[in-house]
Amino acid sequence: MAYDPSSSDPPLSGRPDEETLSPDRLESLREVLELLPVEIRRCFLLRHGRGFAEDEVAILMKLPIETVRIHLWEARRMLGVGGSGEVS
Amino acid sequence: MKRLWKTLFRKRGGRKRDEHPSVEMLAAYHDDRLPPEEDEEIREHFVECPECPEVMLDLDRFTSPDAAEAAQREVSDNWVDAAWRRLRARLAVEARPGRLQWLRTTGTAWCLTALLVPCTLGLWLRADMLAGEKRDLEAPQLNPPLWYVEPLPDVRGEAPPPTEVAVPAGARQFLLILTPAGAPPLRADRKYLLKIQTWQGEDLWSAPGLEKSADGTFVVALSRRFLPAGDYRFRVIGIPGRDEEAYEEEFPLRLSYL
Repeated sequence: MAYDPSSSDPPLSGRPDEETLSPDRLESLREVLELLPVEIRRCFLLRHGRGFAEDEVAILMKLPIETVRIHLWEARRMLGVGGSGEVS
Repeated sequence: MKRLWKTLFRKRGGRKRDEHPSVEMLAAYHDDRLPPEEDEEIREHFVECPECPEVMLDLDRFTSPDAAEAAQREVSDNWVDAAWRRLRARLAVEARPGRLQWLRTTGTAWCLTALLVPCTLGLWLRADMLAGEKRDLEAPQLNPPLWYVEPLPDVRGEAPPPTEVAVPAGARQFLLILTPAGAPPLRADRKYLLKIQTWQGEDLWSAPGLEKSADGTFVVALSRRFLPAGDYRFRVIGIPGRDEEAYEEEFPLRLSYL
């Protein structure tokens, strides 16, 4: 989904990525995302909502990349989402 | 879509979504110079904002040690390249034979010396000779020869032969007494122009200021080196004043040196 500057709707993802979830998928995960710990939720949204790479998420969140990977793994586990975004 | 965005990225801290942190604030966040609560606000803002994460990543790229090292290496390489270019250009200029490079060879120096020595010697001899002549000219000369030169035509209306002036060998100077045919019609204090011409009428020398002597003649002193032997015309020209007639007479002479 390309970002349209003229649109009032902010983009869900800033860059194309194979692991970026579609808006429909994010909508379906809305309530569950609220249950995630803040740090894990942020990492998940930056990784799968915005399409940032893991090392970029680590830079943005000022976390070790291993921590980011663990957070993402936990988020996927808690959300029941596979690495490619499939709900298990 | 708007609802979804509001749900997922709703404001959780004190900072509104439209309020972007400044670059200085992002830099402070990057360098861990912000209090924990502001750190949290910025982290939450990154999740919401489509622009600030990119700015933050750019900031991190520019300030990372690898980037600094690469920049330093680039600057250093550029500096070294520039220094080498300058050095090579300098060497090329110095190695290139210049316009005066031929002067630096030993053979050329010897040739120039060989030319300069006789030139210097010749100039010295010439200067010595001129100094001797100057001394002779400054010394008094007793009994200089003199000739009375008649004008053309003479008083009888006939064309006389040029006055023969044969300068003796010992005479450095001689006098010419230019004798007008009659009294010049100009005032006694009037000055005249003397013009020396070849026999063909070509001007050789002229000077104003010639004065009539008390006996009505014009006296000219010449050095034997001034005029070579030959036929000449001495012309005396008077510029008339008011109520005066013009005056011009020609005195031919044949000059020879014994």
